[in-house]
Amino acid sequence: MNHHSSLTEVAHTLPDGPTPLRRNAQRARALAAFDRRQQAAPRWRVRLAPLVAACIAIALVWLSVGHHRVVAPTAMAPLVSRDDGAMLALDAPLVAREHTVALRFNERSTVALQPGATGQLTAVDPAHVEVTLAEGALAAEITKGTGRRWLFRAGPYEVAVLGTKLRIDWSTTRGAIVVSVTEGRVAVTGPGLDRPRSVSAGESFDSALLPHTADEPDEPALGEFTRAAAMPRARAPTTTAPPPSWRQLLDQGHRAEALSEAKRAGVFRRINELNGDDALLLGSAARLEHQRALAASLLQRARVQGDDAGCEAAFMLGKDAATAGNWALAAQLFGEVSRAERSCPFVEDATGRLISVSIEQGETERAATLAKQYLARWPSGTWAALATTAQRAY
Amino acid sequence: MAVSPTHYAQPSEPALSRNDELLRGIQSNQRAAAGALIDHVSGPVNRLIWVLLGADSEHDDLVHEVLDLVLRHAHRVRDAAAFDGWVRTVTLNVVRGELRRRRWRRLFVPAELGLDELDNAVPDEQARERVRRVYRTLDSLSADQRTALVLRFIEGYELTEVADALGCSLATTKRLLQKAERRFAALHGEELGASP
Repeated sequence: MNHHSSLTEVAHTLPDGPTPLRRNAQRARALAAFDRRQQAAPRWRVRLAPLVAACIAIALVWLSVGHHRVVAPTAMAPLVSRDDGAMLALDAPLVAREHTVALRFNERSTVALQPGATGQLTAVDPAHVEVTLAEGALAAEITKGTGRRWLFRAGPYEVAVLGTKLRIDWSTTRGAIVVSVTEGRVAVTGPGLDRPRSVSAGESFDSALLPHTADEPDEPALGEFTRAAAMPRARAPTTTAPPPSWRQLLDQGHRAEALSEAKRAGVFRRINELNGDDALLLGSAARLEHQRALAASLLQRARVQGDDAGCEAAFMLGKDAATAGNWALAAQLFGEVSRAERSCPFVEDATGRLISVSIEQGETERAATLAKQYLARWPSGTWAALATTAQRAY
Repeated sequence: MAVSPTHYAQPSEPALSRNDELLRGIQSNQRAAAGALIDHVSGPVNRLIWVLLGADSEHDDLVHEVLDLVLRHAHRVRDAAAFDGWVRTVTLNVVRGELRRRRWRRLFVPAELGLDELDNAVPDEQARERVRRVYRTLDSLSADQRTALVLRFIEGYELTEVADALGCSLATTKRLLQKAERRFAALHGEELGASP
């Protein structure tokens, strides 16, 4: 038989796929995961709502106290789009190759990345807007009177703006910033500046012209205050967005990275604090990544929580026990699932596997009893052929 | 039985309209739409994983992974005509990822015991053994070689369809298939020779 005919024979021999009953179980499992996601999302939003409200309240107080006049900031965050009309996603990289890339805000402010520049819009809310310039130059015209604070970051430097026209040039190779103001006034902070440097209309600030002190840690003349002012602000790297959570990574299908992130965040040191759904999500990922010990701990946590997540976890643990040849444990777990509520989508499969495990253990009487029960409920089930054989043989 | 890749052909008007309806439903997170979407894709997804892995013990887990990804990300598919192809791509990526992981693991971990799904799928013992030998041989190929061979000679895809599924040029696909066929023929001959 040549290899073509071997492959063609497979096409004719193998059925189209698993039985309809098994596909129903797949459907129920996928919908259960869908329902869990739907239930998790509102809880997340409810927890965040008070924090967002608090941030807006603090911004309102800062604006009214800091400027000695009542300025109600625009209640809504500004809408922003690119000059090609596309809506902009926060933290999406902006790259201006041969042409300017302009961001237009609905209150008529504009930020234009000059050719060769890269950056990101890193924050937009009613109280402030932040733009990070990773490399190159940008020109900005900021509408006055909105009460909104604008912050431009370039390397370790920050340029705070209320209403102005300015240009910022940032070079990563030189580590130097140049801020040129044509209208209004801005404040620049960063290395070499022990207090904010005000730059007014018609003026420029070039950090390369500052006297060097920040790179000399052993300089005895630097007091604590000056040394602290010379250090870059303690922030996450300005050109890097916050790392995605393990949930986001799982959502994107990056299982290995999600597990690494969960480990980094200390989730696995507090497995007993996980709810059933999260334990099941992480346990499933660990299982598919063949991290057996971790998967077992997480799935066990989900199992003890009960409900649908517990049923699914017990079924997976049973499969893993069978894979490892641990028939006694597999029998215990499949038995547990086979007695679960009808809503558990794995009852049929677990019962069938329990027949097979019973045969492996030499428990022929149990196998025959289970086979009879199986065929009574699922005469056309996935394991019907095995159940029929078991019933006849034992 | 041979199955022509019916889902590969450009969808008909009624099918396009159905896809459009499904996508709109999933964009508004409707549970009924999620169920309808699963019903729509379950057949092709199951079939692809089934033939690529051969009634594998982890079949249901992989189907679940694909269905989960489809439900999470279907709202991003704007073009109803591209939906079926997108689902196929997701399925192939999941399977190829799994195949690569298994090849890596086999370097360090001995083959695992497990309940054999082929017993249920193919009742005839001799036919089952022949199928098992084919899949043992396929296990020795790279993920891409295996995918190309299965799509071409078990699923009956045209060369252009294989190239599209793999995301390669036609020339690259032809070279891949030639290499896969040579390797399969050599190894399968050894496999047949070694069998009692």
